[in-house]
Amino acid sequence: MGTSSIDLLQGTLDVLVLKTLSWGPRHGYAVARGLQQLTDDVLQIEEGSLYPALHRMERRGWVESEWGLSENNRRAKYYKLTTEGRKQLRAESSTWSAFSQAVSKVLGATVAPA
Amino acid sequence: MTTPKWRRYLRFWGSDARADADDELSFHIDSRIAEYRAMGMTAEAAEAEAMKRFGDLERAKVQLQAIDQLQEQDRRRADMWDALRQDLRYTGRALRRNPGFTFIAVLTLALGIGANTAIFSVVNGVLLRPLPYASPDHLVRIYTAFRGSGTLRYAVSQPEFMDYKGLTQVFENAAAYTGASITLTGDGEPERLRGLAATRDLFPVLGIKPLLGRAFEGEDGRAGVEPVVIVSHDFWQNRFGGERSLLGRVLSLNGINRRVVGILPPHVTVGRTQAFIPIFINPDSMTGRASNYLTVAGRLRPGVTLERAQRELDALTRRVAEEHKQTYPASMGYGATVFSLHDEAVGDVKQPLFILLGAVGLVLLIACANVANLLLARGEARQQEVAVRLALGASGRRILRQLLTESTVLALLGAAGGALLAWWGMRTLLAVNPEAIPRFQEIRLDATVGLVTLVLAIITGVLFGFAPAMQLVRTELQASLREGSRGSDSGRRQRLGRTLVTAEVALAVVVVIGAALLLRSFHTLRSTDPGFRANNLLVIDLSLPNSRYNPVATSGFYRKLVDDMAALPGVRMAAAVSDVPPVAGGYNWDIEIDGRTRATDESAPSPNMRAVTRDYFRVMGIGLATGRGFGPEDHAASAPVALLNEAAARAWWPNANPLGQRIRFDRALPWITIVGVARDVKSMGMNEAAPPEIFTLHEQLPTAAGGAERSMYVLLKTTVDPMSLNTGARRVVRQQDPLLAINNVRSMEQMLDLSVAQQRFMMLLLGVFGLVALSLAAVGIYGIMSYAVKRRTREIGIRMALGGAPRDVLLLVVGQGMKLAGLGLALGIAAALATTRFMKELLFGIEPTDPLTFITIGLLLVTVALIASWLPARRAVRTDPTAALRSE
Repeated sequence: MGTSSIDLLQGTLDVLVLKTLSWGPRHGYAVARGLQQLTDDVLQIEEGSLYPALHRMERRGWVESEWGLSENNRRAKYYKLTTEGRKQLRAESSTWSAFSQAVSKVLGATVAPA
Repeated sequence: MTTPKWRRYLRFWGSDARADADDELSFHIDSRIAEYRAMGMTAEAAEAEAMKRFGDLERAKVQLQAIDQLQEQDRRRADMWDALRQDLRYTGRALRRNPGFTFIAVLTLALGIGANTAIFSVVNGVLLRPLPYASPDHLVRIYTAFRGSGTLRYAVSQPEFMDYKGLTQVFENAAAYTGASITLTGDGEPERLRGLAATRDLFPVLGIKPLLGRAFEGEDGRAGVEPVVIVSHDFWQNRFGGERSLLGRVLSLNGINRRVVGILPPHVTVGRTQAFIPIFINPDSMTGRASNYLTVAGRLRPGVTLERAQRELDALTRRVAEEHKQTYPASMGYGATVFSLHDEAVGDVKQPLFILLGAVGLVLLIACANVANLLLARGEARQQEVAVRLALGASGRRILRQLLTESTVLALLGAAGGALLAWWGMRTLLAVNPEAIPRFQEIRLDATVGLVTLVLAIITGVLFGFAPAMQLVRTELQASLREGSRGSDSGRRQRLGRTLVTAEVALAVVVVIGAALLLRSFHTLRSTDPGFRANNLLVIDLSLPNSRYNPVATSGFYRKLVDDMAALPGVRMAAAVSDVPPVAGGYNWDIEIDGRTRATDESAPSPNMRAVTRDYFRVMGIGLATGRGFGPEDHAASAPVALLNEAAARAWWPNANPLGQRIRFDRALPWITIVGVARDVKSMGMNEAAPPEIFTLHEQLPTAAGGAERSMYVLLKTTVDPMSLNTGARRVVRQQDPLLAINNVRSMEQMLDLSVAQQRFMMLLLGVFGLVALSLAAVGIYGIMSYAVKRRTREIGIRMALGGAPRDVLLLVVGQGMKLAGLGLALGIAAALATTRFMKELLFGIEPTDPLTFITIGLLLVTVALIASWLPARRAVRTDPTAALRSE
């Protein structure tokens, strides 16, 4: 686990989860693994917070769940993005990139503002 | 967002949110451990690392449970709405498919619910809604009482008022007032106003703040201080078009110039008062203790109960009676009473209204029974449909809910129709009879009434829908798709139907008997001999302002007016009287009888005093029991004479001849000789016995009574329709004094009608409800017999084919109907015998268990039942036997 891990804000975790689910239905553990790989373990996600986030999004109608069998034949709950969730992901992504662009611009600036 | 329909099947196996959450989390942790083990960790290290990576497991579990619970609720709610939408759609289809049934059911319910809405709106406006004053619960009315004669509510004199008001530990404040006849002149047509003379605390006591200007203050009303007046909002709008300039203007009222200093806010006044003038009570020069003319309204201190106020008043009046033994002999039982102002304002309509409420409740039950019966009959046709749905897997509960939705929708439609009926009905009734109930101006269909109607509709829907729906579902659950499952099931259905019809006949009997009792009572009241001839009699009430008329001028005015009136073409005779039957109020005057000494603790004889002109008895057609009437020999300058009525003669000379006896009103006034005794008349109302009365000659009042009577009713005995003299009579008054207001010109017949307005109101309402109840019961019998006949068409057909006489078939069917009606009638009469005694106080000259009424209504019901079952029977007899045989 890297020392450079960053604490995540609530809304950010939601976007990341939605993004992970955008490649297809998967169970909570797969979502955790996916995030771990994608962020190269930079973002230290406390996995316990993943599930409340998933359930909350389910209540909001962004994801749907269904029980299925996992790769090792255990009962696992699979989550799937809904149309509503896809819309949410799009909106959040564009907000996020605008935000990160702005932050990068400031941090990358070489000349002090007048 | 709507939950898709398939969601409903998710919980086919049921769900366990808690177990699911545990499973989900343990799957995660186990997977993690397996991964670490694969990386070569020991079991312990792998588990420790997985747990560390997961964080607080317990917290996650708690959070999941909370979220899942919420989600479950969302789902259930969405499902419910979904099911309701489905039910409603289905209901709409079912009701449209059967417009005849829907129409009859909605109409029946509209009648039942409408009657309830109407009566509840009256109860709400009159009984439930608080008076339109600030903290009305603390408002009370205080009376002087003379328990010796059983009088609990008597007017209050100025010193008594000051005594009561002085009880500051119980009363925050108190005000006294009295009705005042006020004539407005100088602004076009003279107008008689409903006036009130009140002490300056009236508005603070009631919590009324003027909209414009000020309330009474300081020495308003005291002689020498500028006279003022405060007017009601209505009067300001109607007479002056709401012009602000009225404030500060001077109006001529009873010939006195009064400045308008205040205008009240809309809808807030006392009774229907238009103008308030101040009374100033000067503690140093109050009118006498025995001069009782004030009404007192008080405001209790917060936390003081009526009982406590009554106790304090008792203590106070005991002390006062001690101090004033002359005024209050022990036998009078002087005291004071205090009542809630609301109860007083509502008065004696409480019981009639509750009786009406009971009656409309019964009508609604009858309507429910009728619609339930319709539903039962229709159930036959719907059996297959229900069977199919059950077979397709719908639960009994689900179908029950669907059926109850149908009945509730019917009830809501009925309620909508009922609200319309109620609105229209109340408007009509109040227009016909505005004086019949106090606070009638506060009756309206408001949110409370709407809410009650809505709740009533829903209860109604369940009430009449439940039994038929249960019947339908239970039958089908037992018999499922068994074909032709008619026998025992329809037997049970018919039994339920018969029970309903019996019940509704019984209920209808109660309502109709109640209505009939009132009808007969009203008839008796109206046909009671009032003791005078009311036909061809015109009554004009007049009031002379004392600013322009001294006692002598007053008697001169009326003497000339009566002569001029008598000379009008179409008028046979004319007279005037201070208080006219049948609604005479009048004042009691204490008299002293010559030759009788009175112990200090004995109260003086106190007849009602009526000032009359010479021809009064002839104009009214009142006979004399003995002695003579007033004649030409009696005039202002002759020796004072008087007549008694029989009640007075009986009371004071039970064993002696009253003729020639002498009485006087005061030691300082001359003796008056009794010259005759007139027959008793219904002077206080048709249902009241005549009080002792003494008649004095109007023009002798200045000498005999030391005063004058300025307000008189002028009576014209006509040879033509009395109302046709309206214009002529007004002209005669105007010729003599153009500044007098003439508001009321009525025929005596109208006045008699008015005196029984409340009874008429009750009778009309209960009569309408009785009619509705009777019709509904008739429809109920007709319905059940038609149904029975239809079910037995085949049987009847066979009987006819085998040569059965139509008469036998008729008898069979009618006999069955009569059996139902007979049982209902018997039950109804028993119920009526038990309940009509609550009407005792509303009835006049008739017992609540009047046998004639009971028998008549019994016969009426039997007749109605005969017709209602004969009609379907006749149809059965007329059917072609072959067609009947093919009907299965």
